[in-house]
Amino acid sequence: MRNKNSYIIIYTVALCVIAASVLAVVKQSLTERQDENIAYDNKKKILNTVMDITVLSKAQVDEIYANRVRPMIIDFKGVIQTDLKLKDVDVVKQKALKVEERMLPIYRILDEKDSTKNSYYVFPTSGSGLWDKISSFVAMESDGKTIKGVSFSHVGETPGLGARIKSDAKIRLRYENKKMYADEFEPVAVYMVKSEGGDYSDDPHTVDGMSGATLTANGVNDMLKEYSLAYQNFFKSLN
Amino acid sequence: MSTETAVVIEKKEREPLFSKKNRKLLVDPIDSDNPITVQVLGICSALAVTVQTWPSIVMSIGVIFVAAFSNLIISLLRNTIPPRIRIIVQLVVVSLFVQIVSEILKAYIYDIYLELSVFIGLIITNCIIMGRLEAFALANKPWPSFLDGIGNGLGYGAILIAVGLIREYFGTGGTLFSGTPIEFTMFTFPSVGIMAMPAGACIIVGLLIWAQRARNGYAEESN
Amino acid sequence: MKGLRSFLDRIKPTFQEGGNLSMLHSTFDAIETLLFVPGHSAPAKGAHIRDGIDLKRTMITVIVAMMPVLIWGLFNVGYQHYLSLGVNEGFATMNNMLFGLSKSLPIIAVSYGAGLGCEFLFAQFRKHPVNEGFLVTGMLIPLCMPPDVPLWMVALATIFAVIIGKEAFGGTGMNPLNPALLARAFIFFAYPGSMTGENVWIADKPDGYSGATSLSNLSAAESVPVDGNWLNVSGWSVGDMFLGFEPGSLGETSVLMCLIGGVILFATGVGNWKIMVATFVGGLGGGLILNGLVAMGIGADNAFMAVPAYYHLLMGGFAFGAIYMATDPVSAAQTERGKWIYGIMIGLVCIVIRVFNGAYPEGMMLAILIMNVSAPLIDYYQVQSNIKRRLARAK
Repeated sequence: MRNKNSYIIIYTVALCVIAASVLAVVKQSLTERQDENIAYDNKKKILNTVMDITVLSKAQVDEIYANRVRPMIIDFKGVIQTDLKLKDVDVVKQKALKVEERMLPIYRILDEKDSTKNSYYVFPTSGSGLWDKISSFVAMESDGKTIKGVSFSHVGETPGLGARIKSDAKIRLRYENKKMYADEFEPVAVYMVKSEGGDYSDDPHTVDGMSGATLTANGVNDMLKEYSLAYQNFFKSLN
Repeated sequence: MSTETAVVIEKKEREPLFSKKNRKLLVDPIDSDNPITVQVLGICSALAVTVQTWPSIVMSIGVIFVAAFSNLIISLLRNTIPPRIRIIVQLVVVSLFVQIVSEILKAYIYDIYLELSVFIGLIITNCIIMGRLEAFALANKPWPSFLDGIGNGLGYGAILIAVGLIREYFGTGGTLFSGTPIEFTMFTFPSVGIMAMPAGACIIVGLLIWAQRARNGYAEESN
Repeated sequence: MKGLRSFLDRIKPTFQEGGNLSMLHSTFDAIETLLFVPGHSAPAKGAHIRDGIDLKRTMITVIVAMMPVLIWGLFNVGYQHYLSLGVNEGFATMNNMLFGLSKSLPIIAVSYGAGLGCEFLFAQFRKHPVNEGFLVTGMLIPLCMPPDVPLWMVALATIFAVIIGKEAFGGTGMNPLNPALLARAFIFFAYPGSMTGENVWIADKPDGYSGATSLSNLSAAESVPVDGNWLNVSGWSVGDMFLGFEPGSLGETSVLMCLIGGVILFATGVGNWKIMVATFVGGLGGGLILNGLVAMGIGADNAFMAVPAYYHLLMGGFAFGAIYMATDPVSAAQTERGKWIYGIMIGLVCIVIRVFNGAYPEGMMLAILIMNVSAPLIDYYQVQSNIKRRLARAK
């Protein structure tokens, strides 16, 4: 009986229907919490570029984000696209387009006291490291040229070498107060040199390298260069 | 990938829930029949998720859950499953539970979910689970099957957590308690990069097998 | 000499079974056989090969063959150090030698201390005599370390190599991997900061002075020189690379000295010439294939592919690996044709890793380790094909 085709087909269908409905119920009841988690993770990454979030609780992060962060979408010319929402724009997918055709998300961080002023602008970037994708958020001062802070993420860089962009806080700090643009907003970006141990405090566009991780550094350099070009017109239009 | 271990249990009239035989099902896989160090199953995820202790613990709980419940369900269905599609039926049941674990992690511990990422989904292909379904659940009653699932999950988890503890301490200098009030450091040293890579886990699993064989004795299978 | 012999004979019963110190029997045995040729050789009658060559003599020969690279390395460590400080008083000076000694002797001492310590411990526990295998390993480890490597790392790596690489597999003669390379690979992956980059190849160099080797210069090069002047790209001339006037691990810099060592190994019959030649052939062939691809327009802007093939044999540890590491009789292929395949594959794989894996500009270590693992497979198929051929002939 168990080898009859009709039995097998009915058995399969019944099993699939039961399994699918169980999953549907589970997914339905958890979706809200999951979306919240994804949003919170993003909030942390954004705020991490402008303040120390390790001392903040989840409620504080949510509060600061709600009060002070205003996302918007711009195009290459720097024109704000009011009809597009943040969820319509995927940074990784946009990377497939030419820089001139991309829609670019940017987060305004409002001043702590005067909410009509913007203190910082944060934009997301995406690029390739040595082994896999890397990404970052870059926070700019209100002058549109100076970096306030960065935070890097990566998927699979070598631990102890390239993975230091995330694990070693020193690397992030090297980018602070460097300039993404020259005087007339030419996109020079910030360049990480090959070897480690040099002093680049006088050079606004150069940071010390990571010993043994030249290719990850190259990935970071290419990524910053590309996005400094993408956001060039927007920052230029601020002044 | 999967090695099958034939476990034959003779039928018996009425036995207590935790009879000697059933306790053996639960305890044996932790040491003398350990899925990782003796049966050499489930090595892939043991190498991949054990950089830190906490993800190892979460992964272990996931595997215990999936192993126990898919064993239970398959054992309940064992007399109705059409033999020609039994592997497919097993896969559907396993993937159902894996998906449930994945959704729950995504909703409640998102950080760990990101870290385990693809490996939660890969529980489906974890040799331990399919191996136990084929070798045990298809031929045994629900209750022993359930215990066998838990036992093998525990055996897997014990090794995973041991490897996780060692790798976290030597690879990053942290312990399970880093960042909590009971944080402690015995002494500081430059972290060992190889322990943060899967190769480090391979070495540690090898050392664990060595230690276990030195203790339990080991004879090469003769052919 | 006689007094020593009679002293040993007098205390011998103490260490034999039933004696007070019988637990230290293998320690005693090791010291006794080091001082005197062991008595248990082939009997005087019958068809036996009677030759003075035993494991100890083999090992000592290899050590002698390593002396040229070691001595060159001592001078070069000092030479590179003073050069980085802006002092160039020539190569063969007392200062260079002394500085080299001050850097190298501790590494050698730690390597032998940690390794022999492990060997003696295991010999006691497992009740077998101490083997001489570590005499060579203990010298190879310092020779493939950068001069600035922290000593505790050397100790840790040596212990790792002896325990995991050798004892876990059954001791000397049973190791599938070359233990010295395993020690290097351990540091390479565990503490990459001490084994990669530009800062480790010159001892105590001032910050800012580039310690880049020709390999790291080439892997970082962004374009192929139009005028064919490779000196600007590699940073070191062919002569410097051949003689060994560039920074690098203690023993790897001088190809000339490696070749002298190779001749000693060849003349005494201790090292296998087929593997050495095959490795160089494989490396040269790999380089030529890449040159050919460049000529066809594939990867024409990749300096590492376009560089003349013989550069690969001169740069980094290629010669050192081919002569001292690949020929390790335990971990190499055993069959005669297998040795050719084994050597050629080492050369090829090394070039592939160097050129196509941007993170590892030196591929020799990984290439030899990969082929160590594959050697039994090569032998297996070699034996199988022999059996097949003979069976066919028998029919």
